[in-house]
Amino acid sequence: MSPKPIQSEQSAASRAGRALFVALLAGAAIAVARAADEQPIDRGSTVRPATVFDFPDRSGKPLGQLPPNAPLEVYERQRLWLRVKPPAGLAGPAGWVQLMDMRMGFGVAPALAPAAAAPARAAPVPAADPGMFASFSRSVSGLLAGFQSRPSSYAGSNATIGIRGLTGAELNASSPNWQALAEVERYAMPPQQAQLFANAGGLVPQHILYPTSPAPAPAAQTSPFERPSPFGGRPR
Amino acid sequence: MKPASFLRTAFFMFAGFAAPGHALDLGGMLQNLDVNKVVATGQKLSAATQEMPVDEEIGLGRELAARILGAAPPLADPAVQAYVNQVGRWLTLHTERPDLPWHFAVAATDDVGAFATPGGSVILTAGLLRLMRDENELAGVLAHEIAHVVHKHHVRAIMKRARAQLATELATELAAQYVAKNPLVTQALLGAGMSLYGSGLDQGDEYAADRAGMVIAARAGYDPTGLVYLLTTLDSLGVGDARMQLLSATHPPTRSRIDALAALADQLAGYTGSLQDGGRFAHIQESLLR
Repeated sequence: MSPKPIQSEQSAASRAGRALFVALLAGAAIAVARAADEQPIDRGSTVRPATVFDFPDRSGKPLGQLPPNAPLEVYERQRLWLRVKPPAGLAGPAGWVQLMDMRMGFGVAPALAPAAAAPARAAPVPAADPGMFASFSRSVSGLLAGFQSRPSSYAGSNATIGIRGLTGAELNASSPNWQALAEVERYAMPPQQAQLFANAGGLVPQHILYPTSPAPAPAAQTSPFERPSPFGGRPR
Repeated sequence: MKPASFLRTAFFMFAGFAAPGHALDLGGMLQNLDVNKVVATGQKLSAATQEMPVDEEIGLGRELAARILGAAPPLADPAVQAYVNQVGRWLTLHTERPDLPWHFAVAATDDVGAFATPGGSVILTAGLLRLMRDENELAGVLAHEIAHVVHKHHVRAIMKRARAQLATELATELAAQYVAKNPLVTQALLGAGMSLYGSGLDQGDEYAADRAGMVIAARAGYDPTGLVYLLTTLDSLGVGDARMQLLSATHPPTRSRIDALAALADQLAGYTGSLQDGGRFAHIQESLLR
């Protein structure tokens, strides 16, 4: 038997390997390029010391710890997990943090508007470690500025009341607006139309019972949803 | 609400504080009132329903909704109103009370808040709608309000407050009056209701509505963590923000609400929602900002 075919196969395997390697390199390059272009989908800051994981689960490998009030840019969300990076110019680990450890901003488009645009309003949290997160205050002001820069009146509405600071006293003193009630009652939606709306949005109903107690035991033997409702309603 | 619709409630309420469990010595103040008859009727009604009858609940809720709209009028945007009604009505179909005359409204105010009144009226502020990122968050808020209605949090709180108020006022002013015909009953219910919207429900009811709302949203095919995400946004606004004034005065601290939902969110991990809204939420928000 001639060894040639074998050499040929080896050669083919080698070529395939090289091709794969090149492809992987190219893929990695594209991924790097994409990462460089990646735009945050949201912004927020930690509310307490938060662990950064390499994977969106507490079983993931911890990559580092963030202090409270660390500003972060969010690039991806998986339910209660956010893939985050520190904003440009700030050091800190990048990876996955839990949503529960965060307070979130108001979208990203106008979020980093000049801090001067934000009215003098108390920032919701004190400034963080000035060394590592020196620009935190500016970042939070930016978060708020994005929301505050939006218009505060509504198209088609001639309402001038209630623009700011609706209070309990105002509610107590208000007179019934029957015309407004009649107007909003006209928008009531028949169930059939709601069903069509749900279908169009891909909403698939699920069978879930109410949870059983205000503070479910963490190590329940059976599913906590398979017992009677504590809310008084009949389980579905 | 038709005055007549308060009659049964009045009997029921009076029975509530005249019955032995709520012993109240009205003494000679009620000498002309046929207490036995009223109590007997009230107990009969009470035994039959244990609750305010549904038609009265709806009537009371409409009165209260009209007053809330008197302070915060509806947004004049049919597309926004119809959209919120579609999301809300779909959610109600996954509750124990799908047959109430549910309707949803967006109020034209920058304030951040939402109100539910008995019988199925839900009012959401434009200020809150503008803070949301997607329909999952809207579903989370509406489901929280729907949970208040489904579990009758407001009705029970109003009845409790009105009973306490009537006990005092009847003793001093109503001695010889036939209780159900007295306008104080109507006033007590409405007054208790409106004061409730300024002071808030029991905090336990708010936590319960958060939890039940997450389940209702998940049942309807939404991502139940939408409510949590929105709460983390409200946490950024903080209690010092004027737009949060009423919400802060009437709800537990936002951070406590978030933390209280952690365990349930984990339990609902299998329900990620199936929403593919095709841009409809973004379209509605754009129309809010025009």
